[in-house]
Amino acid sequence: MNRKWGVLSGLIAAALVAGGAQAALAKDWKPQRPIEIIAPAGPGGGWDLLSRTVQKALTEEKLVDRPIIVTNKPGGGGAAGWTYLKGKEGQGEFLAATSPLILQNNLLGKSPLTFHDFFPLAALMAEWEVVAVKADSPWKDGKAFFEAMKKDPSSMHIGVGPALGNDDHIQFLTLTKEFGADPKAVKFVVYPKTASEQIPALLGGHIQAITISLAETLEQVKAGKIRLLGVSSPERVPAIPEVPTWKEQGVDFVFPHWRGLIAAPGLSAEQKKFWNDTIAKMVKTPTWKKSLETLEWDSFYQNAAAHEAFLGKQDVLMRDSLKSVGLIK
Amino acid sequence: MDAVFHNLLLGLDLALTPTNVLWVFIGGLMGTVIGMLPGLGPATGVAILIPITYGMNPATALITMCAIYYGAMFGGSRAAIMINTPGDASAIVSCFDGYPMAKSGRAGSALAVSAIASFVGGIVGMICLTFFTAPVAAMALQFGPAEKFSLMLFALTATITLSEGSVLKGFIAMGMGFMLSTIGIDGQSGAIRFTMGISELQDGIDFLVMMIGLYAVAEVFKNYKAIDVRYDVDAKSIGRVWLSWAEFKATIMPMLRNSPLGFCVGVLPGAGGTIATFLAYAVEKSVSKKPETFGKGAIEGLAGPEAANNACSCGALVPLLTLGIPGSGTTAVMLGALMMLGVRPGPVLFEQHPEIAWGVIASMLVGNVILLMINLPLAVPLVRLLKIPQRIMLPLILGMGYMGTYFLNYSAFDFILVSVCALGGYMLVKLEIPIPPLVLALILGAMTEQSFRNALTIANGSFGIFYEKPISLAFLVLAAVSLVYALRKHKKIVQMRD
Amino acid sequence: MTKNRTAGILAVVLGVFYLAGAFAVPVFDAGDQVGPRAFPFLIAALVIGCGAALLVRDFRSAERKPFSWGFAVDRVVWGRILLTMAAGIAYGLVLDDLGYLIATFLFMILVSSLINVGRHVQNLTIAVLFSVVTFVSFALILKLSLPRGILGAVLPF
Repeated sequence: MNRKWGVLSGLIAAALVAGGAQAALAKDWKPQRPIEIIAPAGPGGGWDLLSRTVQKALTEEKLVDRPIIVTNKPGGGGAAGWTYLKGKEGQGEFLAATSPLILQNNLLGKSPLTFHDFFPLAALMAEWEVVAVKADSPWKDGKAFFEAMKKDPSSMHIGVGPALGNDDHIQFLTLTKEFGADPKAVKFVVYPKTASEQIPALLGGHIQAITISLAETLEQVKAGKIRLLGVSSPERVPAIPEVPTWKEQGVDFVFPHWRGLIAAPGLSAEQKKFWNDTIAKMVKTPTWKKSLETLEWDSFYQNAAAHEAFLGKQDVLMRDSLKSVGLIK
Repeated sequence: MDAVFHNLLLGLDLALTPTNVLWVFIGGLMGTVIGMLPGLGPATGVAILIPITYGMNPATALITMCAIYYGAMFGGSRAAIMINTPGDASAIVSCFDGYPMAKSGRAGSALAVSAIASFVGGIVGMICLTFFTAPVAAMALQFGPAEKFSLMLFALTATITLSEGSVLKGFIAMGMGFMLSTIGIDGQSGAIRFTMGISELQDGIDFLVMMIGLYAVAEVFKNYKAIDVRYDVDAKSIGRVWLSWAEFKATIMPMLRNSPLGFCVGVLPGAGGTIATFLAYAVEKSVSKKPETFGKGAIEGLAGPEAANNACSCGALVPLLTLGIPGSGTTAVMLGALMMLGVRPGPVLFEQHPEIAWGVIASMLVGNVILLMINLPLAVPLVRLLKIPQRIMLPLILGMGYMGTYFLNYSAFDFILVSVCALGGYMLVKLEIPIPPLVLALILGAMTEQSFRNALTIANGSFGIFYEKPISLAFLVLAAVSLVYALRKHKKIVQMRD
Repeated sequence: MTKNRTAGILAVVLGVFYLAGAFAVPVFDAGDQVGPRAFPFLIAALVIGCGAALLVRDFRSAERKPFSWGFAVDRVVWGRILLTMAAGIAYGLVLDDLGYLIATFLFMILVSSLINVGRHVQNLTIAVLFSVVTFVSFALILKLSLPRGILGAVLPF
């Protein structure tokens, strides 16, 4: 019964809005039809989780008055979903989840699209990167580990997944360079199924270290089976207070694995303003904060302007790292 | 030992609360239905049902998700048996003998045996989970890239040698599967291979898309020759969904011996139901006194893999519960859902929340009984589907196939792939090139290559790693033995023909 | 042309094309010693080798039963197959724009008229029921994302 009335009143509202749209467009813009958030991956992954968390926060806090649909469009490491978004030029009802992959795909030549092709709306959350070794291994911190690496790179095998050129890989390359070892000599062992293969491989002693995001290792750290050599956050992470940051270890390296939102290209200033304001309101709501907490995500909010500047800087950083090992020319 | 029983009783206490029993029932039923639809496997099933777990307490949520998971395993083989369309990769093997059984009027027996075998597999898996989780998890850690490579090599050779007809054609089919598996971006170097400039192929070919093409759509093509023929089902056998005593006797050993096998394979990360079911089929065919009946409706060829498959899904929970890492696509989705509820399964779970961990294990006992009770009666209306004339059934199969394809990747490009694969599959059947080695090579191809390269990276280029490690060596020997066996068997057939 | 000879030729031709593709795979400085080309080379060798062996064995054997694809004899069957494929591909191409409901309806009408010739009422019923029932159960009840297409503005949910 309730639903029926909802539908009916929705229809009436739609008719009213359609009538008043002409007048309203002049100064303020509002979504005119159901909003679509594109998760450029299948259900269950990080992008899907982010899209659904945003959907939940915007809906429950009533920040938009249109229904929100999450559309899964996996493929091409995000490219399929982003290509779909690019086709929605000028339509303010379409958003998509992003991550550093939008830069990396372009740098590695996997996709012609980059952040310039969209309206980079916001960065929302971040996870931090770590380097992990077995608890009974001789290396206690980054320095000792990379010293060993300098001496005999062929005895050190580093697990990374799902493919070279991602954040995990770039973290390790940068650290190798900063600690004074040769990034080209590092022996990477690629695990396409990421943590589900990397962690058993580490525990089974098949490889010496893994470069991975923090959340994937937490359970093993708590159980005392693996040790973290360092974390890429600016300050120590509350969940693992005993692990020093890379910064503390004398390396100027803060590296978030962030996720955020982009909107369709060619939006009007009013459309951009609407979304920038709405997301700014959303990150302050209790629903959003609660979700971050249960998912163990760190808040990493940047508004549109800050995010675009950030993307420009990251682009340069990543290009340098990938060049230094010959993955790009 | 006492501690285990104490824990199990603690778990049963939780599993038998009315709320949890109700959710096991609902989850199991929904899982069965979703598992039946092509393209919607357990992973999607758990993913789309996540919203119903919001607001549940974590134990109930995990119990419900597990019920969906093994419910989908029960359901996956239904479509394989009835319309030759596997619901997911681990149901492929159920097509080999299940579909011929259905076509020859034994659909009732086939559905009954698959439900019973799933039940037996689930129970044995649950017992293994109770008593052997720790040692098996420790064993799984011994599996490095070299061991994995050798295991996959063995699974591949075993499948070739078991397929009908010429070994040479088996190898050709395997090669074709490997060719397809190399399309896309090479994970190790990032090199783009064989995409012919088509950007949609960069991610590689989803084997589930191929499967829908090779099995469901190609099956429709095969039937185009005789559209007006009905399946050869007589009215008498339709209502009867049970096993004869002889059938029960023939299948009980296959069920029991393949369940532990399935469980062990399930524990290995990334190996999963496909290897378990193909190996179980290989085991049954090689111990059978009448191997020539396999592929033509041998009931053991259905029972063994079905049991292995369900035991395997229990095994896949071991890495999730002991290491906190997902061992399969489905458990990955479950992990995501549990995180949203603020629970992280892992080594600490057994210490901090033993009631959750043991409640889940105990709920499997309840769940499997419930699923058996759901699935046996459900088979009766399913069998009646066979009465629907082909000319109405075939468009529906096509519709389901293409819809399932869309759900896999939400990509219209896959529609082209499905259509082309269906044509390819139809042509391969005409040339008597066996499909199973092709599918298995496609599924395992990327993993085989990556394990091979990882092993060599770790050994700094020395091939010794493959034969110096005992587990790896054992699988290599098995692979060689199965190959020699096949060549000799083939020679005999050729001699007999000449 | 026997069945095995056709299969052998097919394998050799496929293998050669694949080998040519393997030579086009780029090689990078980074990565491992094995590289992205080695595995494809092995596969090509396997397929070409087995195909050739199949040919050799066939020429030696007494088997002379000719094999035919049946393009001429089973004209109707092949026609149906090609039309189904075309319908399937077209279905994919229009799905996003027309939306699931309309595209599925059109696809079902096409293939069922192809198979269930002449029974228009039955086919119409199948097409309508299939598209509506699947859309309601998957998009509305289970909340899977199915494209709404041109109906997107009209559908109230």
